[in-house]
Amino acid sequence: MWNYEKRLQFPVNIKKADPKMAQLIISQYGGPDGESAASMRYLSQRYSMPDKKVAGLLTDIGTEELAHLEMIAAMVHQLTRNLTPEQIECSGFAPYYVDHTLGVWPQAAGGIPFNACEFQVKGDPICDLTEDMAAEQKARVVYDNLLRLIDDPDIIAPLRFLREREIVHFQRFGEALNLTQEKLDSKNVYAVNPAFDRICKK
Amino acid sequence: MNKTSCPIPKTILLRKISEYSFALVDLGLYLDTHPKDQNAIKNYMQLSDTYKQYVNEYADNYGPLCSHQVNCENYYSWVAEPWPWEGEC
Repeated sequence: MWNYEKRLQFPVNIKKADPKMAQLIISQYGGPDGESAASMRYLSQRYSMPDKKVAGLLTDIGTEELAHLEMIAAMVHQLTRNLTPEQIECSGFAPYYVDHTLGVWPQAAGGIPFNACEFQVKGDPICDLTEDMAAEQKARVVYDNLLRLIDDPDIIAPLRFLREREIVHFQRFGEALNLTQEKLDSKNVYAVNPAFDRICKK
Repeated sequence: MNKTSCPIPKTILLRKISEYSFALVDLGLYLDTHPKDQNAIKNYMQLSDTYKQYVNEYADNYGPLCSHQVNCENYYSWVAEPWPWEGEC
């Protein structure tokens, strides 16, 4: 179960509306490497993790990703609030506005809706943790790509924070993969699924 | 609510809470994969004590961060303050 804490993990106070930038940043809300996919991936993968430490890590990172999802939504909201019809037309925000007005809906920068196919739950700890490491790198690349296009310090600060978290999570998932592999034995030299094949469990 | 007796201003106290909470999150992830690290455990417990003090101080003076900290009579204060995505917090 979860509790809500009435604050953001890192402050988001954007003073200047920028609907063009909102359309790019929204990719981290509902895009292929976004925070929705991240939290759903980790929170769903933990049920088939035999190692308590790894299940704990997935729970805690999956929870932190929900806080990141909220930060991204706050950014999109603050970048689009109080827009005039003229600003909506001039910024290319009109197609999004037609369907969602100034609400925050999970989609990629290219308009593709959020979809559970953005992530996998394979039920094989080694496979899933390898995906998790790649996912953190892919999200880090999205933040790098966004940061190259932005000069507003109010947007840069929270994006830099989120980028750094991808790097920390990558490190921790690497350790989780090592912990899982260390538990394999000589009967499982090819590292087949230690969550399913009984002979491979220690 | 909003008593003037709190020695720490609201924004500074919220920043302290964010800093300590972040340290606990980050160190917590490390401890997930290194649960035997005695120094890290000691550090975590110290941070946790200070964090709890700040959270209680905030709830007593500036309103609830979690709904169970609500302390009110006529109006449910959980829905009285701005939401975090509105900015300025």
